Amino acid sequence: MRSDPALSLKNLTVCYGGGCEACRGEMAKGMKKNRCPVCGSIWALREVSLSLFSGEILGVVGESGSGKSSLLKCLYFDEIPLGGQLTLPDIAENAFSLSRQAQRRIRNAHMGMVHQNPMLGLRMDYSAAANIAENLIAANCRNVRLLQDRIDELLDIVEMSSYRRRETPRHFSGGMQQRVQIAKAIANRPDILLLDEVTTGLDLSVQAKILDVLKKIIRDFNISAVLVSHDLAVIRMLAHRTVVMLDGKIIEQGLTDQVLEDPQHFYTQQLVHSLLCI
Amino acid sequence: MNTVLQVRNLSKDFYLYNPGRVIDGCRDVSFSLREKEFLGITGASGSGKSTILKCIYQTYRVKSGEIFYFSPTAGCVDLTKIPEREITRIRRQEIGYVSQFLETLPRVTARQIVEDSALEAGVSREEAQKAAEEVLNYFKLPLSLWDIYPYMFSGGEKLRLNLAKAMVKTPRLLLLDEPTASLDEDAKKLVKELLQKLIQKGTAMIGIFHDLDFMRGLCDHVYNMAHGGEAGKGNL
Repeated sequence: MRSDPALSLKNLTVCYGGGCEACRGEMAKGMKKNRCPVCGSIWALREVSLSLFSGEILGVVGESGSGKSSLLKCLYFDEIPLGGQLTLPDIAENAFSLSRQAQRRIRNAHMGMVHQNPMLGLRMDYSAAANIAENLIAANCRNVRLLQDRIDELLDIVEMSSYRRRETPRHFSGGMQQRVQIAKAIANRPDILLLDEVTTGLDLSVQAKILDVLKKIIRDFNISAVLVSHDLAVIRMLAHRTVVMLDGKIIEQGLTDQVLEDPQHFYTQQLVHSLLCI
Repeated sequence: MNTVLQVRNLSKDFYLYNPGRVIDGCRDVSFSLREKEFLGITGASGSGKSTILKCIYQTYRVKSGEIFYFSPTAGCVDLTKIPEREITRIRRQEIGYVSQFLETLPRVTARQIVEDSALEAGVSREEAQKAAEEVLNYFKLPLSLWDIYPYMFSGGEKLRLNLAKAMVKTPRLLLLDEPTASLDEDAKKLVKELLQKLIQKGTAMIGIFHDLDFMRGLCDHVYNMAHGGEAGKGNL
C-alpha cells in the first residue's frame, strides 16, 4: 500500500426531498434521525468525510437506510450530492463540481462498480462479451482484436469459461452474473473498485468463489476498494479499515479488527453482539 | 541491545452499553522489551493477559498510557497515537500476532496463506514462494496438505499453519497468545526451537502460555498479572 490517498471525501451531504429551512437549520445542531419531521426529506448522507488509500479495502457497514449505497452512488457519480468535496489524484478541482462529461471520463478510466443487483450493472439481453466490451469501448478501446483478447483475459481472471462469452447474463446463475459484473468493472484497470453487497443472496460456495476472485484482483492489480456489506465476516476477511454508518452519518471508524473487537458506539456494539449471539 | 517496546502505565477497560457496565481489561501495566528478549505474561484466566497483547497490536484502543515501539523505518512511535495507515504498515512488516485461531478467507490454500503473508512484508513473489515452502517444511506440515484449504485440517495443523504465517516474515516483534494450546509435545518442541531461532535473529517476543514447562528456558522476563510487575529474570 502506498501512502497517498486514492480518494478523499469531505462533508458529503445528500438529501432526498430538497429539505426545508427547519431541517437545514437542524443539520448544524445535529438532527438525531435522518428524516426531517417537518418536510419529510431524507438526509441520506450528512457531512460524511473519509479517505481511501491506494491498495486499501475500506469496509462500510450499517443498517439498511444508513446511507451506504448512497455513498457508493455519489462516488460513482450516479448521484448528485447537495454538498461535499471529492478529491482524486491528478484532479485539481472538486470532482463533484466537474461537468457530467468530465465525471463520465473519470468513471470510465478510473472506477469500476459492482452492484448488489446484477440487473443494475448488466444489460441482460446483451452477451457477456458485449457487456464487458461496453466499458472497454467507453474508454476508447476500439480495436476488435484487442477487445476480444481483453474480454477473454477478463473472463479468465474471474474464472469463467470463455466459451460462455456469447451467452446472455439472463441465463447465468447469480454467482456468474456477479463475476461478469466484476469482469466489466475491472475491464479498464480501475484504480478504485466500488462493491455494493456483492455476495448478498448468493449461496456460501459461490460467495467464497466471489471473495476469492475479488481478493486476488485487488491484490494483483493494486486496486483500492470500497466494500459495502451486511456480512461482518466478509468485512473481517477483506477490509483493512471499516466505517460504521447510522442515519447518514459515520458513527465509528477504525482498523477492522478494532471496530469488530473493541466497538465503542452503542450501535456498533449491538451489531457485533448480534453476530456473536447467532 | 536496542529497546524494541516500552509500555508505560497502560490501562484498558471496556464500556458495554448493554447492561451499562464497565469491565476492567488491565490497569497500569508497564514494562520494556529489548531485541532478542522474551517476555512471558502469566496470570489467571480473565486477568487481562490477552488484553495487553491486543492493546500493543492495536486491536483494542487503550484508555490511557503509552506504547512506544522503536521501528527501524519510522523511529520511535507511540502506537496509541499514530494513524491507522501506519499501524497497518507496521503490522504487515514488523509486528506479528499469533493466536490459537486461524482466520482466513475460504478457498485459499495453506501455501497461499503463508505466501500472502510473506508478500505483505514486501518481498518478491519468488522469495515469498521460497520462504513459504521453507517454513511449511520446518513445521513439518505434510506436503500433501500444502495445496488444500485449511478448513479440513486438524486443530494442530491449523495452529502450525498460523505460526508459519506469522513467522515467515521474521517479525521484529512477535506477540504470541497461547499459540501452542492444542499442540502435541513434538509440535511444541518444534515451535520452541523456531522461536529460539527467531530470537537469535533479533526478534523480541511477548508470549502468553499456560504451559509453564514450555516457557521455561525461553523467557528472559516474566510479567505476572497477579503481582502487577516483573517477577524477575527466568523466574517461573
